[in-house]
Amino acid sequence: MSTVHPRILLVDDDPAIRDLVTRRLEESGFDCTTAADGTEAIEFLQKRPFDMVLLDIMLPDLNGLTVLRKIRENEATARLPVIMVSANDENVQIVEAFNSGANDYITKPINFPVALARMRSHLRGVLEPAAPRPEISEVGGDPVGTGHYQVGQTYATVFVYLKLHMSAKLTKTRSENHLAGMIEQILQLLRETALRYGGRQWGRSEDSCFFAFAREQHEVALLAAIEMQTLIDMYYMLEDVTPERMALNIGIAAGDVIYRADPSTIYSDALNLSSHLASEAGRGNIRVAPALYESFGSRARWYFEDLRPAADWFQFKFPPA
Amino acid sequence: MNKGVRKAILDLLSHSLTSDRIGVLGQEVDGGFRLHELTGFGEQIRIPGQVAAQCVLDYFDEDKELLRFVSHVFLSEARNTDRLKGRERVLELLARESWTFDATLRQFVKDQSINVTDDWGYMLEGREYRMCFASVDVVESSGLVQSTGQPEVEQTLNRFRTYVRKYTELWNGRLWNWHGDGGMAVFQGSDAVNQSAVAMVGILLNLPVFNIQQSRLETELRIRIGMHSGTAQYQKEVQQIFSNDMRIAARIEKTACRENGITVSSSAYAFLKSEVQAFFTSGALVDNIRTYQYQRSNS
Repeated sequence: MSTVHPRILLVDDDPAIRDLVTRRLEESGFDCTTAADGTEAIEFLQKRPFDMVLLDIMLPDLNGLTVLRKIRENEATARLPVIMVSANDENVQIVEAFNSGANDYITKPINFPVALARMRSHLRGVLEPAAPRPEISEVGGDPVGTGHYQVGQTYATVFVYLKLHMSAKLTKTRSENHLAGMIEQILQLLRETALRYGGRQWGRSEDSCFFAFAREQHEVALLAAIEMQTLIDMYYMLEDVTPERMALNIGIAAGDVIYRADPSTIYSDALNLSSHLASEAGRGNIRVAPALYESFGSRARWYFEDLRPAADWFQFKFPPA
Repeated sequence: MNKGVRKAILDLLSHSLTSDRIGVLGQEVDGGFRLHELTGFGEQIRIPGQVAAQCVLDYFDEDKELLRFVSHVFLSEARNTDRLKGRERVLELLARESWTFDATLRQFVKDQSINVTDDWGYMLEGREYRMCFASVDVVESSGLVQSTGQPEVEQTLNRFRTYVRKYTELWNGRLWNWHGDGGMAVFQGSDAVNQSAVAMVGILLNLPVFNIQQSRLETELRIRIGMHSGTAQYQKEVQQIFSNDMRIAARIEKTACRENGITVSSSAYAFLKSEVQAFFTSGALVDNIRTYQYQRSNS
């Protein structure tokens, strides 16, 4: 079963309703597939696993009740939660649907807060239970924010090292206070981005900082780094700074690290490597070591340029070559 | 709008303004508003204030039309707000229904922080507004099915729409229509073009994140974005709106835009801040309109 985005099969012959419901479900974190009729729904259910079906009663070929019976007859889908969707005047069919094994029903026009609450209620056990988490700090702490890291223990960690490059022209044209304010603002935005991906700022100096991501979160660290670069490009536009005057260079590397109470004092080869890659990266670039590149999935690899043998690293490139 | 608000507006008008003044203000808002004709009173007969006020409420039946009239009353009587008896009460009741007076737009606007609406809370049916249009489209979407299954393509395109909507609404835009593999994002207000540019740069540069994290395709999903500044007539059914300027945005996207690029018309380019213009280089002519292409700068 999917634990991140519950997979919903939405069966409705009205394209406008499919469109609306899909949008709302996807905004609420569901992974929605649509079928326009009962036959298509049965085909999907035979080919792929789903966590729930939202099934309209009135369908053009096989009606919803027939589809429901077929779902219940099939051993693979016999226990699949099915919520019937009906117009208000189909009460008799709603009773019949319950008798045929429907788990619940919702009426059209759909009241989304109510529908989502009902869906989540039936998906308990599919969705991961929300584990109580300690208060998350943006700075320091272990990357996953669970408070499980222990001082002196070794943990596999991914480092995203950022160097903020500012041209002499920029430093001359802006006051010291203005520049300091800009840097703080940028760092805050970067911290928030890292936090969304489960990363924590472990250290910083005047013009650079580094973030830690847990264990095998190589690709997650890359996604955070891409978003950080995008954020900086958008920041330029909003704050009237041209990219020639300011740029963010990023290096990413992974390795074991001995955790310390003050993570800014941590020393590790991986951290050194990420710092080196950030220093060597051209302006506005992301560089990773070959070992990290090898751990990426095929989609992530689309975006990397192999700089070997001239240099022993891979460079993020968008649009890809 | 509930009856209590309408009653408060009725009281304000009937207790604060003469029927002649109500007639003049009504006509200033809508040339077709003829108080004597509508009430059936002869031209020489003085219309009771209560009747004149009720006539306004009946004539400007639709909420946004009535609020357009109320805005006009407030603005016209701005120097004599003491004369408007019950003004604060009307403002308070409207605020309870999430209507607030926007000084820049000089009208009442429905609070968008609670519920994002396609009309930004103020647009009127049939009225023309200046906006920035951004046509977003997936490159060679029909070919995607050959390399990946139909459900995966459909699912990815649905997610892509959600992704585009997220960035569009983050920068106060609205996704007015979507046709499976692309759509039209619309931005309004004095900084519409710059907001549109920032939103589109966000969509474009974070595309690798979408492709790595959300796409179910076997090949990279690539996009093109065309931007143009112009006008469109608002309709409640926003997916039906397609003005000439929206067509230009779509044409720029289809004919002058590179894969994974953003191309803007000269009229949109002219509204960009000079710092943002620095990201664009001169491009091809489309229907005699000069275009400019977004170029991400790195080394």
